Amino acid sequence: MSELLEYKCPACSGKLEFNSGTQSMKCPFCESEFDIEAVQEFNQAVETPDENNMNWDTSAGGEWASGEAENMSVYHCQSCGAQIVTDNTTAASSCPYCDSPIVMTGSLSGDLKPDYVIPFKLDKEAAKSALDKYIKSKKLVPAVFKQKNHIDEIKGVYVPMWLFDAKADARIIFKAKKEHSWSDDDYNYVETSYYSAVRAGTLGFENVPVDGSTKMDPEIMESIEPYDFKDAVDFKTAYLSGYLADRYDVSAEDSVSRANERIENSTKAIFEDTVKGYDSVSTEYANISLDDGKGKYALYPVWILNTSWDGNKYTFAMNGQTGKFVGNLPIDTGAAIRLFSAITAIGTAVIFGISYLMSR
Amino acid sequence: MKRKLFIIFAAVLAVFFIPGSDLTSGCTGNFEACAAYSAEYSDYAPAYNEISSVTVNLSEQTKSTEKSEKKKFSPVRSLIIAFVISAIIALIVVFSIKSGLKTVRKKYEASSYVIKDSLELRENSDTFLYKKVDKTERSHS
Repeated sequence: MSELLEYKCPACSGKLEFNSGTQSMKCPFCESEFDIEAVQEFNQAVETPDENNMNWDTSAGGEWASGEAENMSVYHCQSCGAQIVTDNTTAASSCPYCDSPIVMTGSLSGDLKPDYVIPFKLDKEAAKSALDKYIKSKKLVPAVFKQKNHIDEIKGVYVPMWLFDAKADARIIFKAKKEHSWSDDDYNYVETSYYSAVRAGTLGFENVPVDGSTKMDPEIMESIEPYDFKDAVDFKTAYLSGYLADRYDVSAEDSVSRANERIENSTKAIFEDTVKGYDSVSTEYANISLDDGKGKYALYPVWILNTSWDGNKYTFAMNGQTGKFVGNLPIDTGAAIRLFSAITAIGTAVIFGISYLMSR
Repeated sequence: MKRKLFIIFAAVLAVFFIPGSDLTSGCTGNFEACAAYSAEYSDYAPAYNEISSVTVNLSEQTKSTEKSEKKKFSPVRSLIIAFVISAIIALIVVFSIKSGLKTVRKKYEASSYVIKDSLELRENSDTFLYKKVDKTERSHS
């Protein structure tokens, strides 16, 4: 039995018909005409869209060496449930996330040992100075945020991160447009030329980080990126001395979806950048699969300060390696109203004065 | 107003400077000639007086028109417009300061983690599909 071939119209997805008069493919719905070869290429590409294939090897982390875990203490926060780890020589008294008292509960045995750690490069004084500078640079901030005694409570915490390496193999079809306009005495004309741009290839990613702790807001961790993995070293418990570490409570398997999302978006954007010379480009179809997907478990340094104001909790974080500082600050409504009134009053007087002088 | 003044002034000049008219000779030289000249043209005095009074009236009219045009400036309207413009500027300033207080943002891409020079394209083709021309009528005003 012969197979009936159907070709879809690139403009409106209707069924194309061969036009014997023009010897080309014509759409009976939108009246567009196409070269036969162009239609065949386009349909071949979009015929059977494949599912994205993003598989990972998430067997990250190692086992503690004999006696290593015994040197670590685990603290539990009864207020927010955080599990804080530090070495036996460091006394941990308050939770870095909610400032509540924490109690020691036991050892780390049975937990995964981190593969890597990026040690703190900036000390507490640098963190306090950065925080002070950050708050002073902002206008309309409530005065309570500038209190020096509160800034002293900033804590250095190692946040558990899952790092993903992968090679993305993508095939993406873009629809591109070029426009050309002209006019005569009676009409304005716009000629739009449509193109199908196919890009297929590979792109490598390494150390794409995903927050492994539910206690640390992932948006804060993403805001203080990037971390430079060149400073990462093999994990040793000595690096935790004087600092706290958060215990991971998000598994690598649960973290891959976030890594997939970021890798997919980056791949599409980078491939789209290769489509040049057009007025607009949009993605028609994308198929992305991952090869050599692998996860690692690492600890990243962060200086954290939590504070409360007007019933809301505010977290400030500084990248312990690069010094990048982030934190959402509330607005002092009274100060904002005073500023608004002052600008309005002065502006009204100046504009009115100018209009009066010009009318004379 | 200015046109009327110009016409009158031109008429006055024309009266005095019509070619061939003895008016252009004026009086030069001795007293007797001037006296005879004045006597001959003394009938024109009433006309001169009328032109003078019309000119004065017209200039007063012009001054009062200019005064009424100045009175069209409305302080209330100007104040409202000045207030609205200043309020919009103040809102823009306050909102831009407010947006600067938010620095925590989700990342949608992983561009910082792309391995340098790792992009390898094995397929790179652009195919022309079709062309469309839209035309819109121009308005002739």
